[in-house]
Amino acid sequence: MSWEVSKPRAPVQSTLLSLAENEPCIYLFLFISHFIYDASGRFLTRSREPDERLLLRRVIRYYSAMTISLLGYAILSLLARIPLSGYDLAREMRKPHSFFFGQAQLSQIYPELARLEAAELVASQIIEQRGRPDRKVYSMLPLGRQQLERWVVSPTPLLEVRSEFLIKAHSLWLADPQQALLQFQEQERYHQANLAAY
Amino acid sequence: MLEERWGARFALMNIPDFGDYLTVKRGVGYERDYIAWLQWVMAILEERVKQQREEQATE
Repeated sequence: MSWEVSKPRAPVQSTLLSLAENEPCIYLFLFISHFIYDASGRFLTRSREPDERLLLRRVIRYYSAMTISLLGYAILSLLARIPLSGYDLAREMRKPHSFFFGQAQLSQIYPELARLEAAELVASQIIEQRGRPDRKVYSMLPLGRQQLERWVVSPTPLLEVRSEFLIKAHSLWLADPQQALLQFQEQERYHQANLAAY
Repeated sequence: MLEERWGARFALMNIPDFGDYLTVKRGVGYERDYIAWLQWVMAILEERVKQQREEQATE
């Protein structure tokens, strides 16, 4: 086996060095895939013409897969069921029974979709529509499903429940009961409406 | 009610409906429990308002 020394462009170099320090498992993958740095930081590869774009894509894919945001997982969770556009995803997350997704905005969803696509976790397809703008529909790729399956059974940070209303309730003994009653009635109306939406 | 809506499908945990069912059940449970707590506090507050009115009437 002959090793060549070549010099990748700076972004690739810094990404790989960061991986070597922070993500040894991914670095091991790169090593197996014929890419590695030696101890002095020189880039070694078995390839005579290393394709830096391919390398960078692979690094981004594995690095991004390790750092999917909660919104990213929410998107993957919906795409695991059916291909959807960014607009469809926002609409799904706004449904009352999807309360746990939070209220993600389109301005947050589209950049997240772009990240997931760059990481090859999802793929997009343009659907032409007569008399209406084209739709860009995203579907989950096998790597995305693999990441989601892994995440589902990973440890979850214990929930910290902090509620303004409950902090107020803790000092309810100081309040005028008539005024406090109005606040509780308002809360009840809100939660009754939520319950009715199911 | 939820069991009627999902029928026997909710027993099949390898279909997306199972995920919908268990999250909806959690949401409904949360809302019902929260409403029950609000109503319990409101009953206490209403009693206190009633007492205050009686106290003001006797003064």
